[in-house]
Amino acid sequence: MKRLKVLICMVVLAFALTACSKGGKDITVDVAKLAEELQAQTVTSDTLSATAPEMLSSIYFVNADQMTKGAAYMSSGSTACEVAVIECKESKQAEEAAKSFQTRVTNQSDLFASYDPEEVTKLDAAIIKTSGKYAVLCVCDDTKKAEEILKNYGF
Amino acid sequence: MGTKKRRKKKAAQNDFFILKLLVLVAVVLVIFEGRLVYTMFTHKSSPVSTASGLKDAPETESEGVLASASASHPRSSLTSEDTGAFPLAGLSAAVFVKSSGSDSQNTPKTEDPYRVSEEIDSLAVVKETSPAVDDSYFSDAVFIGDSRMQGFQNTSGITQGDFLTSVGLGTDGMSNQNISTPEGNISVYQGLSGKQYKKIYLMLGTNDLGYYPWESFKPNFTNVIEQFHKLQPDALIYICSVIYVEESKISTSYDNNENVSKINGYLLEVAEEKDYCYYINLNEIFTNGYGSLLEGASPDGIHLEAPYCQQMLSFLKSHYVPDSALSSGSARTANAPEDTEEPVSETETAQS
Repeated sequence: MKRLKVLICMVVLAFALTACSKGGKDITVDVAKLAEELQAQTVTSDTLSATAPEMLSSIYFVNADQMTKGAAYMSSGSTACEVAVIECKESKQAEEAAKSFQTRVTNQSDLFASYDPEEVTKLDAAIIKTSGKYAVLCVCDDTKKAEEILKNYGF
Repeated sequence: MGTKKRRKKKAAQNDFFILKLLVLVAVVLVIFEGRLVYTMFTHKSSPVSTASGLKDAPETESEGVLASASASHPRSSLTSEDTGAFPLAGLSAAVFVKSSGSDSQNTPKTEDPYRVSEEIDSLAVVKETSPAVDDSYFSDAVFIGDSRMQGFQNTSGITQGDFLTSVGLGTDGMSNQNISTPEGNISVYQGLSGKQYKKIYLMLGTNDLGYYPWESFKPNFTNVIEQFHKLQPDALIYICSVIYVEESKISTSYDNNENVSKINGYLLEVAEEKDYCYYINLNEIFTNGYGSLLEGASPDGIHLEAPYCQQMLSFLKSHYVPDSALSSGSARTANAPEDTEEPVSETETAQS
């Protein structure tokens, strides 16, 4: 009986630990490829262009020392659409990057409210996700497709 | 005898018929070609108009360019006063030939009178400088501007420099909280209140094209420049011209190239008045030659496609004031009036 109780506890513990990982299994993402796929397949109202990786820390206020790799596609200014994928050194830093993405979306929403209110809808539906040491921001026209792509990559 | 009489009568009738026909033809000719006949006899020229489009375009090179220019409506502000002719409804005035009283066939080939030169004879205008700099030149620079400057940051490939940009930013918005930071939005003045820069690149004016009244624009812009100088006394201020727009893609009436040229005139004046300011004429590379934006450079008539932002970066790298010219004082010789504005208030300079 005692052995059975211990066995059950171990099984429960194993399941609990699995749940706590929050889907953050160790994934490896090609940030450039993911960013390119997202912008090509989910943005239809604008033609986004690749932003120099060196500018990502100043645009998104992400600490450059915490960032390993980054890729972003941004607008020429006519829409609020943008895609950014960042690989950090640790998962905790990825979560901080996600907070920075949220700040970015909030600020952009405030500005576009008076400049081009139609774009606010896209910002309200912005997708911000993390998985392990990766953080993603996607402001696009087809959020369903974006979710699908991100799921395939393990987000 | 009777037969002879009948024949004569018939001949007379035929003659009369032919005569009537000739008179009819003559009348038709007078009605439709009388002006031409008059011209032939008097040797006086007159405006020639054509409704059949380019096929009837005259043969001289300048006039041919005129005709081809009209196809793309190069200068929507052209009127009949500009051409001296009377345009038909729906056709650009540029289609028609402007004659000045002399025989057009003897007129020597001249420059297209409708081309707009972007050359500006002013010490304040930054000329091409060799060698071109690289991105490190921008390491102590801040770029301030509207969505066009934001697009430049996003898509030009620039790797250095700080940016204080906001969509919709205009001359009146320097004190508004519209520059994104990690802690929220701050104003441009607050953004300039900390780190010191050596260069400021300023791109403003596109959101001021509907400015009213125009007489207030220059004093307001001058005030902005003077505040920048107070906050960044060691910085050279590069005032970028407002880039032309592609009017056919824009729905707002005030976003037109006539207003662009007007604002650029004010920007140049301010640059000439302040010895710490220089004017960068971006339209040297973005003009279509007729005072409008290159066709295809913008999806919406205002914001530049990535390749053109990249061209702008190349342009900035080859248009700068060398340090040697600044230190020797040879860069500018114009005397600038002293600043007379009040200092910026403390609340504006407080950093967030």
